[in-house]
Amino acid sequence: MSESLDRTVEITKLARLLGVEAKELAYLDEIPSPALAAFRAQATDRLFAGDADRLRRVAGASRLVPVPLTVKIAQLAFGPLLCAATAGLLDPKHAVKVASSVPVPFLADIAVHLDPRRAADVIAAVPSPIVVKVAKELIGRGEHVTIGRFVSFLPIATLRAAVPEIADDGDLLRVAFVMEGKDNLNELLDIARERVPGLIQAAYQQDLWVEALDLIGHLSLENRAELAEVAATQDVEVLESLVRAAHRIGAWDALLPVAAAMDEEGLRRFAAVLAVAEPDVLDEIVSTALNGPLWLDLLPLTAYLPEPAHAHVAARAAEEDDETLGRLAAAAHEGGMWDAMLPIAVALPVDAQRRLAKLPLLERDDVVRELVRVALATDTWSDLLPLTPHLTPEARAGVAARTGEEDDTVLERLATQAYEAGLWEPMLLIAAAFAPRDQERLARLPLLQRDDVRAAALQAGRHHDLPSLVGVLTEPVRRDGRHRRR
Amino acid sequence: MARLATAIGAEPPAEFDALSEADRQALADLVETAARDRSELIDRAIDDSLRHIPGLLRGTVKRALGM
Repeated sequence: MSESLDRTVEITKLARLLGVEAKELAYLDEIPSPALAAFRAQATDRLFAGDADRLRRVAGASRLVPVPLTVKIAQLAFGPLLCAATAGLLDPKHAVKVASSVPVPFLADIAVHLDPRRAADVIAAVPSPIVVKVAKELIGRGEHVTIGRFVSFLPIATLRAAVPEIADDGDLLRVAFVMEGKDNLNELLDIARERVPGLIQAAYQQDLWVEALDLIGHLSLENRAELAEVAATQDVEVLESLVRAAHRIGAWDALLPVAAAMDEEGLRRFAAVLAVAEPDVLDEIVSTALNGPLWLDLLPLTAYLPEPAHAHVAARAAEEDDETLGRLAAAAHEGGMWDAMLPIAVALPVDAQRRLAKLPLLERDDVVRELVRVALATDTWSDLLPLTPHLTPEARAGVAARTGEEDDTVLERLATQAYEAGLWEPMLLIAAAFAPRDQERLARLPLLQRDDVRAAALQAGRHHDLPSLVGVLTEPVRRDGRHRRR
Repeated sequence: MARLATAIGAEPPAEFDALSEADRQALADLVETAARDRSELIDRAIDDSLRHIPGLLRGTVKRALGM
């Protein structure tokens, strides 16, 4: 997302530099933003350096003239553009003396034309009260682009003084959007931390989601988490508006990490909004997650989506090749998110389930053990079972070994769930890989004393040619209820 | 590309190769026009500013300006 937005911002700035409307540069729409930024720097250098010698002499001459006269000449003869071009060539102390005597509207005019890179020392030396006044003047004129160019050059103390003076949260968003050096946005948010709810409301009320989503895209994980917390508490209308905007401008790469940082209640509310959104919204979200590194950001959200959405996510994932499928599964494993991945795996078409189960990842003992652990811990045994027939015999043996570590009470629960869910056959395939001791424990379970269950087990055992299981199930039962070895 | 390189005084980023010749030309024109406008503005400003300098100082300032 941020790439298309960054391009828009870059074109706006280049247009400003060249003195034309942005639409006149529409043909630059396809150029990547870093290239546009590099070109703008080159063009700026060209414009500022072209007359450098003459401007340097002007700067030198200004020292020969008393400050009040310099101020007068600056306004009457030089005008803002040339003052801006000369500012960086002045001694900072002298420049500040002049700036302190120039009316604020004229200083604002200069700021519009100033290249902050060339006047960094001067900018840093200007007293905070003057910067604050100029900032307010520029905000009043809608010169967010100008302020955005300066922010990274201002001392933190000056920013602390200026930010509270920008009363409208929408203006803060607009400045952040066009700000240069967006790595500093986290620092800026530190200053405006208590205004986060206001920023979200401004985005909603003033239709500034493009700006807000761009800001989000540049924030650290910690700050996204904080934003997520605030966003999750917003009214449904705000969340709906956010979802629509993210979809419209293709900003899911910025929004998914925010959603992933939400707490349970936030995820539930956000998922509810997605559930009633247009089908192509979910499609776009899944595509974004599948095509980039955001799968782990999508998974927490899927846990709160209704089942049809699982099928949707699964269907899209099934379109991917084995390598991608492997990447998704590995990410889920490494992120400790089998609990969210399992329902998706269950919703995969059978063919994709087979492919998933045959992945080298699923042959790893630690992965199999984790899968079983999660299925037991989250009571999703009946989700895991349909996958197990597709596992390699070795992996199935791993499932059996891990399941066999559970006590009789758990085994009874698992067997009952399997039987009642119509998953008796996959359960028996696992049981067939049990150690003999565990097979005997299974045969002694109360469930297996039911004639219908035992008959179904025997039938399946014979059908699948599982002699050890059939053997243990047909052993006569001793009086004390224990099976007797032949 | 050569024309654009001349206009900005450096080799533009390679991505600008993707532009059509006409678009590169238009961009070069814009940079050259902006540079020319700026130069003319400086000429006028220097002339104007001298009119505001008291006679006593004017010679010194002119020398500083290399005039």
